[in-house]
Amino acid sequence: MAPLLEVHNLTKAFGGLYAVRGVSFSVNRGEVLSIIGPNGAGKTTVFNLISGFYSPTEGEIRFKGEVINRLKPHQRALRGLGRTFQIVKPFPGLSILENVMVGAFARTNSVDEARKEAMRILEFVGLEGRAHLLASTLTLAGRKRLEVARALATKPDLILLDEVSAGLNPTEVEEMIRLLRQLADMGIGSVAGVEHVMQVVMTISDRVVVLNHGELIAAGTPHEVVNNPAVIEAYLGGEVAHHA
Amino acid sequence: MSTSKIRDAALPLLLAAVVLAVPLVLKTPYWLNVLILVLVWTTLGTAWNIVGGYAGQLSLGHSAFFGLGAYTLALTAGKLGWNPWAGIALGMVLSVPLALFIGSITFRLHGPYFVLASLAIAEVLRLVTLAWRSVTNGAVGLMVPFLFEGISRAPYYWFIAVVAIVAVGLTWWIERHKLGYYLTAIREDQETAESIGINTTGYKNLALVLSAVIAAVTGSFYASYLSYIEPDIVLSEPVSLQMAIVAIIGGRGTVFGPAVGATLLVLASELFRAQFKQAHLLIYGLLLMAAILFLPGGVLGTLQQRIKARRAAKAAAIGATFARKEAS
Repeated sequence: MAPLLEVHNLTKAFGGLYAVRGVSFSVNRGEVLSIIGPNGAGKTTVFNLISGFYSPTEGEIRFKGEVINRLKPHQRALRGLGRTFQIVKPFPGLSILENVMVGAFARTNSVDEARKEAMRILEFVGLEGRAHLLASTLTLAGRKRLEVARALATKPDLILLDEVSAGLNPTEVEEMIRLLRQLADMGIGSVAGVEHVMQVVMTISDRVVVLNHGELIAAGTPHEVVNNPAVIEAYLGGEVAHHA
Repeated sequence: MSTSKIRDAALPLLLAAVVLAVPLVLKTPYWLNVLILVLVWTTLGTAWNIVGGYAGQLSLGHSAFFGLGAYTLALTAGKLGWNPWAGIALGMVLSVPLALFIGSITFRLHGPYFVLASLAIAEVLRLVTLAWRSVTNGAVGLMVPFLFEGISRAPYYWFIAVVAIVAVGLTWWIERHKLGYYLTAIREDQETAESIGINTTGYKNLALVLSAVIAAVTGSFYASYLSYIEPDIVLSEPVSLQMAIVAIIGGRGTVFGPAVGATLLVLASELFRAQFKQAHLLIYGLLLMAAILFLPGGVLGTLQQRIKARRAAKAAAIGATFARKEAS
C-alpha cells in the first residue's frame, strides 16, 4: 500500500535563505514519525508546508496518493490532514466544547451532531469536565490537548503535531505520549515535531527523521538515530561527537 | 421542532409581535419617526454586525451598500419611472457583485486591507456620484418616489420593522447554526480556522454579501422615506461610522446588540438635540467615549460576558466540590 503521506525533495526558500532543503520522508497509516531537530532546524516550516500555510519552492507533497502542493490549508484539512500549532492557538472567546465543535463541523452541518462528536472527543482527551469553560482558562498542557482534540474532530487520517512536549512538565509529557499512542492505535498517522525531549522521541516514534539547518541529516528507528554521530554533533556540538 | 427550540424562539417572536403592533397604539408622527430611525439603525447595525461583529472583519465603508440601494431606487423609480419595488430589488441584487468585488480581493490578504478597501470604495462611490452630474445630479441630489401613498407614516414603519425583524432573525439563526460557529472561529483566529477545514475567504464573502444586501434594502427604504437624497446624506463617512458605532456600543457579535445600540443612540441624539441645541454632538461624543471605556464589549456584550463568566465559575465550583469528595 502506498504511504499515507509522501514528501519528496521538499524545499522552501525565503529570499536566498533555505529554511528547508531537499527533505524527503513518508508516513504510513497508524505510524508515528517524529521530526526532531534543534531550535531553528526547520520543523515548523515543514509543518507549514505540509498543511498548506506555505507553498514549497520545490518538491512534491503527496497525501493519500494525490499531489496536494497547490491546495489551500482548508482543502487539505477536509482531505484528512489535521494539525496543531507550536504556539497554541485556541479560539479564546469560545468554550472548550465550542472549540472542538468548530472542528467537528468539517464533517457535519448539524449543531447537535457536532456537539455530540465534540463531547465524545473531549472525553477521549480527558477535558470533558471543563467543556463549558472558556478555552482561555486552560493551562498550556490543557491547551495542547485542546489543539489535539480540535484537530481530531475533523476526523483526520494524519495529524501534524507541531511541538508536542515543549513547555510541559514530565507528568504532562507522559500524558501527551499516551494520547499520541492512542491515536496510532486508532489508525491515525502522526508527524510529531519534538525539540529535545528524548523520552518522547524514544517512546512514541516508530521512525525518526532529524533536521538540522533545514536539511535531513538522519532517518531511521529511534535507536539508530540517537546513536548517529551526525545527530550527536548537531545537538551537542562537534567536540563531544569526536570524544564519543 | 423540539420544545426547547420553541421556548428558545418564544421571546424573540414576542418581541417581533410587539414591534409590529406599535403603530396600532402609537399615533404621534414625531415618535413614529423616532422609532423608524431606531429601526433603520437597528437594521444597519445588524447588517454591519454580521461581517464586523461575528466574522470580525471591520468595515468603515458600509455606506457604499446603503448608498447603492438609495441611488438605485432614486435612479430607476425616480428617473426611469420603474415600479419602486423593482428598484429596491435591483439595489439588493447590485449590492452582491459590489460586496464580492471588495471581498474577493481583500479577504485573501491578511492585514488591514478590508477595512481600507471598504473605506476607499465608499469614498469612490461618493465622489463618482458627486461628479457624474448628468446621471446623479451631483450635489443637487435626486427626488425619490414614495413607496406608500398617503401621509401616514405607519406603512413605512411596518416596512422597515419587517426588514429589521428579518435581519435580526437572520443573525439569530446564524448564531445557532454552523455558519455562526464558523464566522466566530474566523474572528477568533483565522489560521486555526483554516487548519480545521474552514474556507475563510468564502465564509467572509458570504457574511459580507448578506450584510450588503440588508444595507442596500435599508438604503432604498431610507431614500424613499426622506423622499430626497444627495451623496453627503447617504454615501458619507458618518453613515458608515454610525453603523459600526451602533453595533459596537450595543455589543459586537450579539444578536440584539445593534438593536440596543440603535435605541440608545437615536434616543440620546433626539434628547440632547432638544435639550442642548448645538452642544448635542459634544455630549454624544462623551457618551461614546464613556461606553467604550466602561463597556468594552458593548452594553449587551458586556452583560452576556458577565453571565457567561458567572455560569462558568459556578460550573467550576461544582467541579471542585466533586474533586474534593473524590479525594477524601
